[in-house]
Amino acid sequence: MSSNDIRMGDNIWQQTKWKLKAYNSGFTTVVVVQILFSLFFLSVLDGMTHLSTGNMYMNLQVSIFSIDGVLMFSLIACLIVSLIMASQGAWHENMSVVTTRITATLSTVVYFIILSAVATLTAVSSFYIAVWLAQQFHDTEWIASDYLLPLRTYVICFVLHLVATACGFLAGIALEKSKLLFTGGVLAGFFIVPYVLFWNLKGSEEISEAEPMNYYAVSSVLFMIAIVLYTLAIWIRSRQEVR
Amino acid sequence: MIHVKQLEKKFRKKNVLTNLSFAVEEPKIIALIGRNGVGKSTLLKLLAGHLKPTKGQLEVVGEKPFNSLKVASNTILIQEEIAFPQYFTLVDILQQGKQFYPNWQQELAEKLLAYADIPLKSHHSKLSTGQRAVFNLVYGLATRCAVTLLDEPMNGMDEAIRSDFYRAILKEYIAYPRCIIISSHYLAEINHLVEDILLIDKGAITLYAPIHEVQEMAVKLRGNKAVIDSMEIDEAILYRYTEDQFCEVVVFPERLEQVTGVEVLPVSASEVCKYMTDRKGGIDDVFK
Amino acid sequence: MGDVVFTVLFLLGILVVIVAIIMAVTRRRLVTLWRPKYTYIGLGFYIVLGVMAMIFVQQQGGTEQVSDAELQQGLQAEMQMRDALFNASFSELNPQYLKKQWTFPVSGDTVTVNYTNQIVDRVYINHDAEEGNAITLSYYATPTILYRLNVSKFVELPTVSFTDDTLQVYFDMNHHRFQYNKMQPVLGFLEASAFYNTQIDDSVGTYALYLNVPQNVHIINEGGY
Repeated sequence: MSSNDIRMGDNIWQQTKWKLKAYNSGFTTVVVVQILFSLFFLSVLDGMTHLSTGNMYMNLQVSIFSIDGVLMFSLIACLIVSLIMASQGAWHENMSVVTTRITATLSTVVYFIILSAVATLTAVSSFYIAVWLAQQFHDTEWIASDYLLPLRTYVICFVLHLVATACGFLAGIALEKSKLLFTGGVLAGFFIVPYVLFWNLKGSEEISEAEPMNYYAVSSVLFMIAIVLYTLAIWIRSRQEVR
Repeated sequence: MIHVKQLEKKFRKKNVLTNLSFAVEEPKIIALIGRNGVGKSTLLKLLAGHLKPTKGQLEVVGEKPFNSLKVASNTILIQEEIAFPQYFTLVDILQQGKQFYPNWQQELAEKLLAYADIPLKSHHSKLSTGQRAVFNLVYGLATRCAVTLLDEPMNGMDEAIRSDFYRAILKEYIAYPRCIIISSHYLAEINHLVEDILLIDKGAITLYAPIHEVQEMAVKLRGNKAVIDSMEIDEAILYRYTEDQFCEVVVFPERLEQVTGVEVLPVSASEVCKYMTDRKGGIDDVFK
Repeated sequence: MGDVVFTVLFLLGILVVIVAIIMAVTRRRLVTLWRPKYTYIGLGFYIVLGVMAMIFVQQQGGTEQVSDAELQQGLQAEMQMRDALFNASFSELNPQYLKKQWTFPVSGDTVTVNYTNQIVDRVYINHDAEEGNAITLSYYATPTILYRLNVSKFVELPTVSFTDDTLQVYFDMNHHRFQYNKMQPVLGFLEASAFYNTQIDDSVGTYALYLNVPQNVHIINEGGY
């Protein structure tokens, strides 16, 4: 009777592949939400944002299609998926394979990284499909613009999804541990998130007058936040028992 | 393989296991016996690394089980609550086993499931209680882990399939010897299967001995109450039943000097375990 | 908009019907029909669809927004015209921005001017015309730029009539509404000023009525508010 010895890296990767198969519904959920809300913005709201300008003689209304709306709902969907992945049910299912607390949590983090990357690509796809449909079905004229999203937008979207999944995962773990801890975390989040998101605004209290943010600086800050949240989640989870 | 020394486990302030010590040095089949709620499942979860000990030392395949990948890859715990992803068919679950367990026996698993008439394209949650128990047991056996922990694996199975799968456990053990710990309430059914008995009562080990020793541990004396009382063996009595002049006692035979005028009967291992963990009074007292 | 709603609902309806037929034929719930690999195939397909949409969108083109130079030109034209009118230097009015001119013969020596709205705040009067009985009304309009879109072509001429020595100038006050769509590649919540494009003057364009009459003609200005 021989003894099996498995390397941690191999086990994490095996578990990630297993989770991609077992929890593929997480991806479906996020994409369905993205499709629904991009179509909602397209068909019901006729654009994500509206602005109006004019003079005495004429009034110009511009419907702006941007990825903000789809991104927001995509983040919420990712947060909910990660909340569910932190549940006891998901833990019990994880126990049916060769795993430890640390490798299970790390493989879940890798799953979330892949989910964030895919969610970014599908959010952009949903957005472009909605814009294309609007171009085909709306009689309205379009203002020529740069139709290509710059790389920094993809980076920001990816990092935002990472933070959303980290928040959801940690919130799920906190909820399992203590409802008080969970409530405290949510309240802290309400205060911290706006501060973090707009910390880079320079020289003005009016957002509309502020200089454009340095996307890569913001991405770096958000990435660090995601790392801190994931580290906290791994630390808490590695000490938890399965009852 | 398994070394337990002064193991304790507390949940909040409740002591579930206290001062447990035993060792398993070689492959064998061990029956883990005890009343409901004495800590059998807790012990199995500790061995599998699902729980952390509160105090004491615990080693499985040379390492502490909690958070040990080596223990996780050499140990499998099969319990009723084992859960598999809802999207997976049984084929996917077997595939999962093959992916994670180096000694996985795919052919054996498929044959056993075919024997039990369980279609591979079903989903685990859609199986009946008995079918689920069969599948879980097959999964556990097919992993061929060095330490296989089965927590009441036969719950829900009908009698015919139970006896078949006791035999399957034995044949698998012969083909690939390993340490198998079976927690069961049906010791009488697994007498022929097990080598050792580990009896737990109130969170502590009451008995850990080979089954043949347990089977010879006590005898039953049946006869006239006055005759039995005259033997002066009160300290050796494990169990006593009296109705009018009729009396039946279970005693340790080494405490008996001379036995006359009463019937001497053997006591099975399961009865020994039952009497050693008996509570004060019997069920008849409830109805008095 | 109604077309889009209808199309989307129609497609969703077809999808629901297809799924219901599959479930009825196989007598299985959707969760048991679905295989994990279908998800990833679907995702790959969806991303490819997105890339194709991006290519088609890119080829769409659209109405070009004015360049900085054009915008500056418009602002300068506006300033120039205002200066010329304010300083009564009517000869400096740029003929490039003359949209229309009306000439009417006058029977008497008094002309009443009547205009009824606020497109122009006043009619500029000059007694510089040649001796005679004709008055000349000129309508000037510099380039109208809103949200960096040159919408000068939509600026309508006033309706002008002259009867009984009364000049009536009427602007249609029903605001002309224009609807445009725009795709914004920046994130609004991170780059609001670029998103809303509010860094520049978003309304450029001025309009003026200039009436040149002979010296002997007296003007009664009943216009304004």
